[in-house]
Amino acid sequence: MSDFLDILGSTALYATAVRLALPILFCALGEVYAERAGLVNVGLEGMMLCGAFAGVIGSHYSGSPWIGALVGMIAAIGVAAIQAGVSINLSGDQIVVGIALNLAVLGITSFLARAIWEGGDVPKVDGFSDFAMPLLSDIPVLGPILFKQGALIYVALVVAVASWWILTRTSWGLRLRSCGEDPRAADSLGISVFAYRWKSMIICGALAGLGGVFLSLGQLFTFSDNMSGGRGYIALAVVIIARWSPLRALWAALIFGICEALALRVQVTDINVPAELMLALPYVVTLIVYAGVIGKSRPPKALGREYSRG
Amino acid sequence: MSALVQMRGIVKRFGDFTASREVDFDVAPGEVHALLGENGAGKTTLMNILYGLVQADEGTIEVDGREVDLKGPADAIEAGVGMVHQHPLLVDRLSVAENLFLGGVGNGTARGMQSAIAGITERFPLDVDPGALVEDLPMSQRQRIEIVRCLARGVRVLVLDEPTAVLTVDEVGDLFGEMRLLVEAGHSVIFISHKLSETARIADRVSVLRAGEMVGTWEVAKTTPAALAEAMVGEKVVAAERESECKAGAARLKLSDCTVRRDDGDGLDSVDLEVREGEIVGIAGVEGNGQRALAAVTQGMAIPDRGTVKLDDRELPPVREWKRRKIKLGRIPEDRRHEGLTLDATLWENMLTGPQAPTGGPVFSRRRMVEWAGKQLEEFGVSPPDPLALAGQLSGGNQQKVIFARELHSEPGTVVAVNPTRGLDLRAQREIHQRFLGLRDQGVAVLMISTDLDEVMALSDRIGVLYSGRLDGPHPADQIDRREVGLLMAGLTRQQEFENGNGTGGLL
Repeated sequence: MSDFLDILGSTALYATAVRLALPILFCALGEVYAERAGLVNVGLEGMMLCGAFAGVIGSHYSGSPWIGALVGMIAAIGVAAIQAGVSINLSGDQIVVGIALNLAVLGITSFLARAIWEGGDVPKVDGFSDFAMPLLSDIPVLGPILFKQGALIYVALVVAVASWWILTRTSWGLRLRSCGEDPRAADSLGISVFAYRWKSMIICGALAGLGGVFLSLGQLFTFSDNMSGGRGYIALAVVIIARWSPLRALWAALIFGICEALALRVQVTDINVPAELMLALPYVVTLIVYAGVIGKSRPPKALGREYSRG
Repeated sequence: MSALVQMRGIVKRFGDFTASREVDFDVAPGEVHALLGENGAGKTTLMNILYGLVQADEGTIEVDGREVDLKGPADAIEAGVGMVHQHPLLVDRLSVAENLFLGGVGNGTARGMQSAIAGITERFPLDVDPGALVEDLPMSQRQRIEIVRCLARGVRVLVLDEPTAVLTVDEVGDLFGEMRLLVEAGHSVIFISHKLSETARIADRVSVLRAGEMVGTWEVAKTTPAALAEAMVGEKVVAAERESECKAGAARLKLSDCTVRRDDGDGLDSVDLEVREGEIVGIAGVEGNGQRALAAVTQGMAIPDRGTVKLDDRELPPVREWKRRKIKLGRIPEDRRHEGLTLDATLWENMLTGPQAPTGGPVFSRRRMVEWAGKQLEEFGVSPPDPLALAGQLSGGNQQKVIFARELHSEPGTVVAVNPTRGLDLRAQREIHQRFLGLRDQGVAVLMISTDLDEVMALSDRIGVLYSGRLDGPHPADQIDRREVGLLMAGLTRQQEFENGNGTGGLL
């Protein structure tokens, strides 16, 4: 038991937690845009996986993780465009389309990995290595947790704060939200629901792709089949727990980061808990927290509903 | 007088249905122009075309003598046309300020928004906290916000789509006052309505649409309500009248100290009520004052938190669900499309779901049931009386008649109806009103909960008014007049009115 408390008190746990929370956070931030505009984007998982894979490809052929990140984002935007086209233009069921995309991306990435590299044995590529921020990283406790990570953590923090500002403090964000609350009212005011929903989905794709890039280029420097492993679905839960706020998403994502970190840590100690049980922890916590906030939070009113005139 | 808006030869088809047949319509500067017609006459379609929400198949629109091509509301607003919808199109969960800003006064960030909103409210005062959420505001204020939003965008022609449907008598007076101010300030107002009395009160000119065709345009001062009514329905209208004496007998439906707790005033607060055989008790009131709860407990759909509801001395609802079909209670629900009928099912199937369909046991003969349903439908004047038609294909009036056929064929002792003629055209309304009067003369106890004051006044032998869950009355119909009912609907008691000394003010 004291071993367990040692782990809970260790700085290393939280450094790992932040690292594991980041991909989820990127996805959740993207999803906030989509859902605020009225779209349930279950395809998050697929966009993330696609970003992770394309990021590795980009980095492998260019040698630069930044170009890898760009390629990953573009590829994920491609997936988002399919989701947007089918659900916005063709009024397809958003959830069905999302699940179909997830399954398709899973198959396609695994296939391409084998097509490019014999046996699907993806080599190590250049990724975002950690670097310590001068001065800041010397702060006790906070330093190692926040300021000894790769560059993408700063991107994530900036995106979270900027998203909050954009959605709540600008006319653009206000119009986007009106499309998710009452598309008919928005349309009658001359706001193009179509355009705002498309834009929100593109942003969502870009951010989910970035989350995937962090997974592959920020942590493992390679790609493995289904490496997103359900994090896209967890991000969907994070959005609900965060009550559609980009700032609250920071905390909500961190909760899951901590659970995952704990699961990893406990495995390497001699604490007598089955590893499988610990690995299930993030998912169990998702269910519990979800049950706790459900009913208390109010989703955008037109969430998941297609809109057409007349 | 050159027209501000000129619509010429407007044609609009939805599939096989023609909603607008070569309609010409014009609006002069500085007038209130009423657009009158029954439901489904094409009023809203015509105005949606003017507001760019719907595109016409043929015809031209000129604003200020210039032809405009309205591809969407943004184009219409640009041309100077704004529209306030029947159910205000505000985003409920945004604040008043955000909704005003959403109207597109500009781009920018929080600070820019604030100054833009301050600019609007300075020119058009709103006695509402700009930070309040729209969903917490009453309909009258929402409507006002939408009007202000239109004006802030520099609209010169304001279309109001049945604005009075959601207002109390007092609020209608306020709205009309405001419309006059707008007209004096040089705006034009198009007032969509199917109510003759309101049209006569507020409009300068009136155009009548019938079945998608423009019947004509008149100056209100030079026409009569009877002539307009004739233009609307195409034949002489006689309002349903209670000709026979009310021969009320024993009490059938009895509520004592009935309470349904709800926070928003839409519950019931110790309501006592008796409905006797051979009378119609009408319950007036603005929506959201307990109508839903009253309907639920009297139709056997819910149990009150306190007090009892008894039908023929037995408690409602019966403990065993299947017994509900045997208690001789006819139920005309509020929402015929969702609660009343299964729209995807045929009429005979819908008929069979009612109480006491003569199926003769758990296994029935389809042929015989279709035959039976056809006979009932014919008797209740459903057109077409085709038991194999889908319920969703019928017009609202005919759907309502199907419900009547289903609920009434077994001769119930008590009928509880909620807004029985909402959304129906005059002719269907009249037929349904006749049906109610017929029931009353047969000795049926009828409870009619309706937000249509005209309907309550015309049919009821006794009239009660719901306000914030409390029931005033019911008073015998000859002891209360329309004005008093209106005051009660607005939450004033007759006593208060007397004390305030404004008992002579003509509100209606």
